Amino acid sequence: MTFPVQITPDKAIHELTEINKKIIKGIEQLSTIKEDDVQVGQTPKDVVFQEGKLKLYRYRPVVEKPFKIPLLFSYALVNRYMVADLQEDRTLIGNLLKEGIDVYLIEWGDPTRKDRWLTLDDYVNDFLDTCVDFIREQHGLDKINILGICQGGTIATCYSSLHPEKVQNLVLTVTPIDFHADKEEEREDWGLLNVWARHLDIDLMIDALGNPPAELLNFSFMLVKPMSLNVRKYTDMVNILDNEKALMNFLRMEKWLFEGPDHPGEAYRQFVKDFFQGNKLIKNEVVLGDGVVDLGNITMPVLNCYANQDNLVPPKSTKALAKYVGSDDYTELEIPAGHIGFYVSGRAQKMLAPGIANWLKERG
Amino acid sequence: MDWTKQAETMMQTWTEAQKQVWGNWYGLMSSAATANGESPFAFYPNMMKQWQETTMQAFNSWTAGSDPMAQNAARQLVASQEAMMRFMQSITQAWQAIAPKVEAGEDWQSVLKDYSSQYFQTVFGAPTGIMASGKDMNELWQFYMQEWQKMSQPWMQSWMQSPTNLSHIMMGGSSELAQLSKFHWDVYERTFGGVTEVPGMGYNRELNAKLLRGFDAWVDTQKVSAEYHTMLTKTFSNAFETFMGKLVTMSEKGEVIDSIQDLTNLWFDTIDDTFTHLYVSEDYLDLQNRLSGATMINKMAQQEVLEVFQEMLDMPTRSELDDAYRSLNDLRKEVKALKRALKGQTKTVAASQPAKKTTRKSTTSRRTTAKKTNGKSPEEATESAKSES
Repeated sequence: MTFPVQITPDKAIHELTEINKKIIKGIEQLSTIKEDDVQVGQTPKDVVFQEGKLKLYRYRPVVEKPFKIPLLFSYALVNRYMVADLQEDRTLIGNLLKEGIDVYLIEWGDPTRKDRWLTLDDYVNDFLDTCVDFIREQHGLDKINILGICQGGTIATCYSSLHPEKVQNLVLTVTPIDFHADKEEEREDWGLLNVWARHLDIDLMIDALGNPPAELLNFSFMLVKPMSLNVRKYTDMVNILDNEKALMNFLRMEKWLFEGPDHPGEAYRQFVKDFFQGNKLIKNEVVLGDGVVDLGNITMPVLNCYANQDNLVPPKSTKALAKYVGSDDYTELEIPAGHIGFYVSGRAQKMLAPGIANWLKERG
Repeated sequence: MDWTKQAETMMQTWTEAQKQVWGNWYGLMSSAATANGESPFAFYPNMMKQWQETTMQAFNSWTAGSDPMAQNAARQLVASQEAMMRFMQSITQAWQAIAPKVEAGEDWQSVLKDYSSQYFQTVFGAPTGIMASGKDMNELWQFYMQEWQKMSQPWMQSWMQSPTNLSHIMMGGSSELAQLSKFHWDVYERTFGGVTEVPGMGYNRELNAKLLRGFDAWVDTQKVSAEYHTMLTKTFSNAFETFMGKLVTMSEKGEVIDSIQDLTNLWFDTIDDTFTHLYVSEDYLDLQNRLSGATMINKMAQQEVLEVFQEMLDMPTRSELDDAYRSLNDLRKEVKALKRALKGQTKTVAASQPAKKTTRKSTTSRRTTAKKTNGKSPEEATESAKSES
């Protein structure tokens, strides 16, 4: 019987010597990197509207005559929008600008304890609506285009149902719609966050914490794949240590991952209760302010983009929209990536922005 | 300091040590079924510790001003080297334990189970020493009070420094209060087990009740944490058994792994798969929910006690601030709604006046209004907002 691990001393030493060399080079490189060197979200933009902590940015167009209907990004309340603008060669926003799209984006602002009482109604019917109205007025338009990212897509979906008269086209990216669709997934590791959220005593959590801290939310994400996300990525880092560009990409992603905001408490309570646990969105039972979110009201054209390897928002959860949406013009765009790779992988970069831009332009 | 030179020397020493380990390791593994020699990793922990300390010392001084993310990444990198070698040590030992049984066609699984279970107990330690060592309630109370004393230390100091406020609260002099607080801790430390006999004295009674509730919550948290810890340790142990099982299967098929990175990746995948399986089990979901619940109840109980102190010091409490913020939020919404209503009315009036002269579609009038209101193109508005912000 032979021990299957046949790592001969020569091979081991060769491998380890290579690793050691890379470590020396890597630590040397890491030691020269200052905080200001690791920047994300650098595509030029201006604050065009501000209310409290909320900021509405307009990205500086890079073509002479941008597409006439602007596109407003609605980002999630978890993490930051920079994943859509991580760096110059990995930026959905930058690529859309190159395609001639006039891009606006809402930065919700970092919630403190003061903001624990903000509800989803505030985000949908107040903050998002205010920004939409501002852009409509600035451009003299009745309707604008909206693009939602992940949870921000769910927010955009609710908005489009409640204010369809203000939305020309709705673009969703890796957006959860059916929060119980993970039950239909064959893979156990797809949709674990949904499974955990369904079993969570959210009332107790919000009563105790106020705003769930970013560290806790991040910890949940990391726990999904404990070794891959906490250990393996650092052992794999050895392979990129001598490559300055790859190393900077890695550090930018680290920065994005670990610098998220807390989640406003009441909004989180409702999101977990009504969406994750009650799955009320597909039942048309979500109540925001005076309105009931009815997916049948979404009659504008919809482009639903999903990542086919998404373990956080499984494709079935996103694609479920097709069954419930009221629009006759519904399109899906499949991107071969995971939840984050959807925005930052080289392959996705080539498909996503052109796909969205062409779809929007075709609809005028 | 010349980093490159220093690092090269460090790495040279490190490589030599690894060379020695792998040389011994390979010799041992080639005859694992019969080998009875000392583990090649026997001297490893000390060497690893020394190397890590030296590396981190040099690294810390070299990277003092660099990006925190970069610093963290480098620390993880050094730590991952240690993790990898520890892992090699564990599989070597496990293989040594099971190889003779596998060779003889005997039950190797139970040998592996014992090894794995013991190994991970050692790695992760006993579940939270406090709960596992069979302490009685009196001892537990001591632990609890020690935690509170640490936590309340700043408050106690503030009490001493703020006699005016304290006299207001307690309607007595600062010395009385100091004595009272001392009395309070002393009484609790001495009399737990007969807590109901603690004299109920006005303000103190409320604090007593809250402390007791806090103690219950704290004990619950410790218990559930211990259960959670045990479950995770078992899962690591299960993962290790699965991993070794994969090696045995490979051995039977004559398959080999010839790179350290492939080997560690196989281990990482096995752990992730094992944890995924655990995560969807009812047992885990129940325990995770209980852990989260107990932790939250404990936090709320702590907050209740802290609020007693804060009230004593005339400080706003968390609950009071939350109430104030809630009122502010309600008012903000009201003001916003009123502003919107006012804006709507203004628009209606503005739209109705020109409508007497000419009838236009509502969309056109909206556009006109928007342009009139702002008097600027989107580009001009952007410039204007830029300068304002």
